[in-house]
Parts: sequence; structure tokens; C-alpha cells
Amino acid sequence: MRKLKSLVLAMLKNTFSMVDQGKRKKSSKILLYGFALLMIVAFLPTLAMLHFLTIDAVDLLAPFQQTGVIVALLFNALALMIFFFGIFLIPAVFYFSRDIETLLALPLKPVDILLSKFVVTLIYEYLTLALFFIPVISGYARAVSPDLLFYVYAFIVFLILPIIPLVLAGLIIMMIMWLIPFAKNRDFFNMISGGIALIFALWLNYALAGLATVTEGDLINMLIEGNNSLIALFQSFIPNIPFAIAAVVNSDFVQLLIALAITAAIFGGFLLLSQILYFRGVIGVNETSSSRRQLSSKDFSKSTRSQKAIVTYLLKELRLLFRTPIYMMNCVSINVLLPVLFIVMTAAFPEEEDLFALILSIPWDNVLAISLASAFGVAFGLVMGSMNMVSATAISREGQQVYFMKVIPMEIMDQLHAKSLSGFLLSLLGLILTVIPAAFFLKAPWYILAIFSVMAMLGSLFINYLSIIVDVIHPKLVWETEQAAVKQNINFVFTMLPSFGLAYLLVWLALTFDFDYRIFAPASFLVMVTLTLITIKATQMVARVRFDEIS
Amino acid sequence: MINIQNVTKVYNGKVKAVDNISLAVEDGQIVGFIGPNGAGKTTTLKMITGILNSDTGNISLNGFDIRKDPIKAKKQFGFVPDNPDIFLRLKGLEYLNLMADIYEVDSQLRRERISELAKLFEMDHALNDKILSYSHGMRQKIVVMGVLVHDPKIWILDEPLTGLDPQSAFALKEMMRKVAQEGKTVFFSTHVLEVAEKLCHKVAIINKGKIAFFGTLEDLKKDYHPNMSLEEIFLEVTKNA
Repeated sequence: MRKLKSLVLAMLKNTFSMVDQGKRKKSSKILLYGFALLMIVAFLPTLAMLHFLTIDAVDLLAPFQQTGVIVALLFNALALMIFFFGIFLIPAVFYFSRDIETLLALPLKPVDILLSKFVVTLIYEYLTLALFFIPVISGYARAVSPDLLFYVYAFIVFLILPIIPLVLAGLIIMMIMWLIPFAKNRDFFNMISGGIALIFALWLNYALAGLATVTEGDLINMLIEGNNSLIALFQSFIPNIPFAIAAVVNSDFVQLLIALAITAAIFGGFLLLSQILYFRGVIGVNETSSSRRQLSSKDFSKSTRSQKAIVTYLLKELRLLFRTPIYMMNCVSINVLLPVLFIVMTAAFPEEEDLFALILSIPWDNVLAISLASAFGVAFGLVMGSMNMVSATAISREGQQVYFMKVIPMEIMDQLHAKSLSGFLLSLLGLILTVIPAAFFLKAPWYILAIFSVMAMLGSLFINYLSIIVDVIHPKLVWETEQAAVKQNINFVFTMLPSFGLAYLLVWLALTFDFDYRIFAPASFLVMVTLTLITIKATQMVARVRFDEIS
Repeated sequence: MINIQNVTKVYNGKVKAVDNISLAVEDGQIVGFIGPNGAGKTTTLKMITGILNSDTGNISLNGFDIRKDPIKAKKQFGFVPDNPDIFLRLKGLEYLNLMADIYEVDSQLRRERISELAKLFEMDHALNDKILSYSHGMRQKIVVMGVLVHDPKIWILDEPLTGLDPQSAFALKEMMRKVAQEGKTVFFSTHVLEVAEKLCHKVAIINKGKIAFFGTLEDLKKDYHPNMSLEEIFLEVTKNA
């Protein structure tokens, strides 16, 4: 037990010291605390809203004696949320964390490491859970005025609620780690865990849709039956939840005991299994796969052909983007996902009164649509170019290795051209994926598509260089994980906001004023060419000044 | 040759990391740059390579000023940084190819050099793997190979022997001797005094941003006591500076 306590404390301290390293300058500390305060203030209205919404909902359900539905909804939703987080958190904490190699060398049993990591994860989950649990349960309590036992039981349920979802997520991950050898490749695992979460979200969507298959008559019958009968609608995949709900809603001690017993049994089983599974998966987890295979002379000469430096540099950028999971997910896959999402939305909701309906209602097979094609084209290029964040993080992603840019005998501007070109090429991928289905769905003639494409390319070029300027001015070079270079980088906000604004303005202009397409299209083309050229020139000027200071 | 004249670097307007130093590293010489932690070694190397700008003074490499003529100056040298973790998701061969393209080495020549270097450093089985899968020493080797592939006239190395296995360290030291014999310049920082003693024609000792000594080891010993070891002299020099 003492071992466990020390381990848990050490892990907690380590994680919190990562948040505040104590070496910050005073001004940056103030900035950090200010930001934290801002977050709390920003969050408060949401929490209050949740609280009052609960009170309203309980009042609404009270006449039908169905107030327990709120508790059922809360517990189920939270259990799902914890499970979902667990799928992401457990690989990172249990397998790929930096302390694993140190811990493995210590005389500890698998269960010691696992249990300490589980407790640390659980503590974080409690913090997240409290954010939702407290406003809803307190709202519920204010509306139904329960006895003291309700609070005691609610607190106990709060403590046990995240355990089984985490155990389930843990078991899934442990099985994957044990059974699938290539899951041990951290890069690969990060990619598939995203996939797992996506599949799970789709399944959840499907399962919730199944809820609606209860006929209206059934629902009314259930509703008028009273006595919280609607709770039966929630079929949880977490076995202790129905008992936890009953315990809290009816202040039922027996149900609480059953919930506790189920939790204890499942957790005990998990610990037993972990003795067998955990070490099998975790040993050697930080090894990176390699073939150690000598290249054939044919492959060798093929891959050592000389090229222009700027081409190799561009290839290097693209390889790093495609091969680094975080960059792949945030910078590359978005170029594919956005068009797919757009097409699915357009195809799925043609009658909805929104942007998609608007796009569908335009007579694209008409020369009059040329103005709109150029406006939408620029807008598309701007949005794609800024959403993929490739250029907005181009310097930040170099991190501490940014010195390389300064040491090599290659003009900084040539390197920046290669970097913005990588962003441009990726948004081009999105463009191709949009234009092909657009030709099919919108039945637009080739010249409309050509105008759209050319204008989109111009929009993308412009925004890519603008993003480079922002990142050259304010690069985030100090980071521990690649995630921070992209996800905790606010640079893209500075480019996304103006690009969205400009996109909106152009589309609004084209839609509101009935411009002659013979003027609007060439005029917007010229404006975009001029803007792009100015931005490229500005990039050069900014880089000359700023790169002297970056080191 | 590397010519450093009256170079100063001040951080945040207060801390003088490098204080008016002048050094001339001649062709055909191996010069070791030694000094305690925080003495200004890395800052000096960064200024020579163009990563940092000096506040005053001039630095030229084979006659090309690093600030006025940066591209030509950078073509003169190859730089091995102290941290070899670079482009970890590129394969070893892709990295070497990138370097060869940047320094405009033609296909035939780069093939010959890469094959030769891969054998010398026992890396021929690892070139097709990502650098991420390499050990620290292997990463160090690939960075060194990335410099050697363009055969620079000046070698600038920051702690190049750290992490290398004995065979590779020996190979690298032999190469340093060989290129110096060919008339090239080698300037490297190290903490290992024995290496400096056995390998260098001259040493520059930097302490608190100032050059405390620059010359041959014989001169250094003459200045102090002929029977003192380099370690003892080093401690003496850095204590008194």
C-alpha cells in the first residue's frame, strides 16, 4: 500500500509539474493564471446553464413521476464519456508514457504499476466528471428536495461511476497491446486509436438511433405509467449503472450494495487479468520497429538520385507530415475529411435551409454562376488552406531543430516556398476531392469547375503565405510533444479568422449584388493575384527580419 | 580557415555569453574548443554557423562573411550539432539524400560516399529505417554522415564523440586527422580533455565568455608546468580566469 501511495504521488506531482514548471517569467506566469481564470469564467455560465436546465427538466418530468430519467441520462452519458476518454488516455498513460521504462526496471509487480496508473487516471476522471456531475445532481436535488441519504448515495456513485468504463477501456487496450504486435508501434497505435474512437462514435450514433425505434404509443404508455418507468429506455453496457440509478433515485441501499459489489467484482477481475496481460503488452513498448534490411543496389541508386534542393525539401516536409501521426491527423486527413463531410451533408440534407441547400439551389449550369463559382472558389481555398494548419505551424513544427533552417546553404525564402507549397498541395488534394463529386452532384459545366478550381488555388496560395508570415512572427518552438506544436498553437486562429471573414465577404458580395460575371470574375482573379503577390513579398520581408532573431 | 574577430554576444542586454573573442583556425589544423559548462562554447559555435548573430565583430569562413555572404559561407562548412535528434521520421537514407541535394552533390558521387560511409560506420543495414528507430549513437552517426556526404572544407562539430561506440569514435577521429592532412579545417567542442590532447594541433580554452588560452598544447604546458596533466592545467586556467 505504501508503494502504491508513493507511486501515485510521484505520478501526480510529475504531471502537475509539467503544467507549471516554476521557471516561467513573472509576466508569463501572470498570463498563465489569467488564462486559467478566463477559462473558469468562460466555463461558469455553461455549468450554471446545466444546473438550471436540470431544474427545468425535473420540473417538466415531475408530473409524470419520471424525474429519475435525468439521473439515468446523466450516469449513462458520463459512463460513455469516461469510456471514450479512456480509449485515448489508457494507451498514453499505461503504455506510452515516459516513465514506463523507469518503472519497468523497478522491483514492482505488474499490478503495482497498473494500479497506480489506474488511480492516477481515475483522479483525472473525477475532475472531469465533477464538472458535469455536480451541476446536474445539485439541480436535480434542488428540484426534488431529497433526503440526506440521496447525497451520500450520489457521492458513492460518483466514486464508482468511472471505474467500470475505465476497466472496459483498459481491457480492450490491453488485449490489443497483447494480441496485435504492431500496436506496439506508438505511431501506428495513435492512428488506430483515433479510428477506434471514430467507429465507436458511429456505433453510438447508431445505437442512439435505435432508441427512437420505440413507437410513440409505447413511449406514451411508458410515460403515463409513472414511477420512473422511462429509465428502462436506457440500456447501458455498463452493468452497475442500472443499480446505481435505482440506488440514487430511490435512495435504495440494497441497490447501492449491488452496484458496489458489481464494481468490486469487475475491478478485481481486471486486476487479476492484468497480472497476465499487462506486462506482456508493456514490455518493449517503446521500441520502434525497424527492418534493418540492406537496400538492394537497384533501390539504393533509385533513392539516391539527385534533385533540386527545393524539391527534396518539399518532399521532406510532406514525408514528415504524413509520417507523424499528430500531423497526419490534424494537417493531412482534414483535407480529405472536410470534402467528404461536405458532400455527405449536401447529399444527406438537401432540403435543409442552410448553406448546402443554397449551394444546391444555384443553377450551376448557367454562365451567371461564374461570379458565384469564383467567390465560392476563393472561399474554399481560404478555408481549406487555413483549416489544415500546415503553413500556420510550418516553423513551429521544427521545434528545437529550427537551427537546421539557418545552418544549411539554402535561402530561407526557398525553404519557406517549399513549406507553403506543402500546405498548398495538401489543400489541392481537398480541392480535387471536392471538384470531382461537384461535377457529378451539381452537374456544373467544366468551365465553372475550372474557374472554381483556379480561384480556390489562388485563395489557398494566398492564405498559405499569410499563415507562414504568422508562424514566422510567432513560432511555437519549445514543445515536449508534437501534439503541442499543432494543437496548442494559436497561430492558426490568426489566419483562420481573417480567412473565414474574407471568404464570407466574397460569397456575400457575389450573392447580394447582381454583379456582371464578366466583371466580377476577372476582378476577383486580379485581386487575388495581387494579394498573393503582396503576401509573398511580405513573407520575404518578415522572414529577413525575424529569422535573425529565431534560434 | 575560420576567422573570428572581436566577437561579442550579449543575451537580454545583460549576460555577456561571449566577450570580445578573436580566433583564427588555420587550414590543415584540428582545433579543440574546451571550457566548462556555460562558458560560451555553444554560443560561439552558433555564431560561426549563422544560427545566432553576433552583436559585434566579424566571422568569416574561408573568406566568406557569415552575415554578408551567408549562403557561400554555409557551403564551406558542415555542422554536427550536440543533439542528433533531427527529422526522426525520415529514413536514414532520405536524410543523407536531403543533405546531398541541399549541398548539390551529384548522384554518382553521393552514392559512392554514402556506401563508403555506411560501411565505415556500420550503418548499411540501417539506412532504410527511420531515424526514430536508431539508438543515440546511430543518430549521431547519421548526422556525421550527413556532413561527410558533402565533404565540406571546414568541419564544425559540437561534442561529436558523445554517444559513439569505440569503433565509430575511432573512425571519426581518424577521419578528422585525414581531412586535416588534406588541408581542411576541423573545429570541435569537447569536454573530453584526453581527446583534445591526442587529436588537436591547438586548443582554445574559453571561460566566462573569454578566450583564456589559444595555442598548442606544448605552449600551454610551457605556460604552466611541464609535468602537469591537461586536466590539471585546464582546472588551473578556468579557476584563475
